[in-house]
Amino acid sequence: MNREVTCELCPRQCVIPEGGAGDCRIRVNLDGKLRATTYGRPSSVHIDPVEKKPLYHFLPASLAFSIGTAGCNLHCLNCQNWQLSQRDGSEMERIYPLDPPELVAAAQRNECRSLAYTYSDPVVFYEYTHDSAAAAHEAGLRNLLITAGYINERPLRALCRVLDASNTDLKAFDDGFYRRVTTATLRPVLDSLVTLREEGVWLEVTNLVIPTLNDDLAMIRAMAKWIRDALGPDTPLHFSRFYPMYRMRNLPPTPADTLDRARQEALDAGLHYVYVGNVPGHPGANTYCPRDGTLLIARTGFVVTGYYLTPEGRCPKCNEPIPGVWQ
Amino acid sequence: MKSKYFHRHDIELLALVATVVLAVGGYLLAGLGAGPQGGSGWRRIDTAAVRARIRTGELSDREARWYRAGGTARGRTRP
Repeated sequence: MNREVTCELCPRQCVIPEGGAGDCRIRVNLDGKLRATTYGRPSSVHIDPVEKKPLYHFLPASLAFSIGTAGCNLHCLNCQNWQLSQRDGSEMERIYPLDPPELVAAAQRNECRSLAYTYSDPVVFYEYTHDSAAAAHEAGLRNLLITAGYINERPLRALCRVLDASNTDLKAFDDGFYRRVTTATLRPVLDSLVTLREEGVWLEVTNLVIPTLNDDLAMIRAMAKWIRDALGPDTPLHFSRFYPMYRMRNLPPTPADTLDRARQEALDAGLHYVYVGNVPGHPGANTYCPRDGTLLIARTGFVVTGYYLTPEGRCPKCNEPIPGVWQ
Repeated sequence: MKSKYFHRHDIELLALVATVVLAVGGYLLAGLGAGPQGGSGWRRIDTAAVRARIRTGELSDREARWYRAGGTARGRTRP
């Protein structure tokens, strides 16, 4: 008897025989049914500032109760959470029993305003993310999806109903890079970004700049123009500094001037909010008014050191409305 | 064993070199196979260990969404 199943969650569309797992390692075919084996069983649990996600236009200086389980549907050579993402549930030393109600209660106890589904990729622990997010909404908490966006459209649209914000990686504007470095492909990620925007989820985009692999300024310019046209010029874009990790220890950290040039390209392309991340003390981590250049939010690392927006989320000098979720 | 060109110790040396080359080559090939690769595929995991952890409550047997029964065998097994 053929007890294969086809997972339709992400573009990989894994056909999984009985006893096997999807490419993500945690969606397992047991007795002809696909099991979400890490449902309610995160292996990474932390309380993070929302700036660490990074989300710079969403409840600044608030705390996000952040969870991640084993498994991932990408296999990035530079993964910084590979001990979590590139293992299955049975290989984890620590597993915390946190079903959705307990997760929400823990977030409330710790005075967090949101739950963040992060660290590995919440796409693969979709059911846990969905049910926790629904419970969080009932409790008045917000939901943050920190993802690579490698998911099929229908599941994503269903998930968007319980999401408030997302930081989605756009790892490069190059399908070859995606295939070589992440084992994924570019098109589904672009589609996910558009879906998130269409569904009204507050969206910020992160691009990790890796020396020699995706730091070409022409590619960065093309990416910024695509974001401007497809997602809108008010979409915050974060250029993040690469550090040697996992199977990509042969490359140096991204020079700060590379990030500066990338930021300038994106600003020149018409994006209004372009940030530099992973460089403590860099002025590119601050938010400035796109109309008159007034400093609106100052940040050092993940700490907000100055907040000058009006209560309505406007520039205090020129009254320009600054897009985001401020309250 | 002795010939005009090879002495016994030459043969032994060649055998040793061949063994080392095979061992190193096998190791490298195994590493390439385990590395990230493009395309779709399911993975073989320690199902017994997963079932054991489900029995103790450390893992969940919650049924997933977004799947269907059946499928044509395609893709590759991953380690």
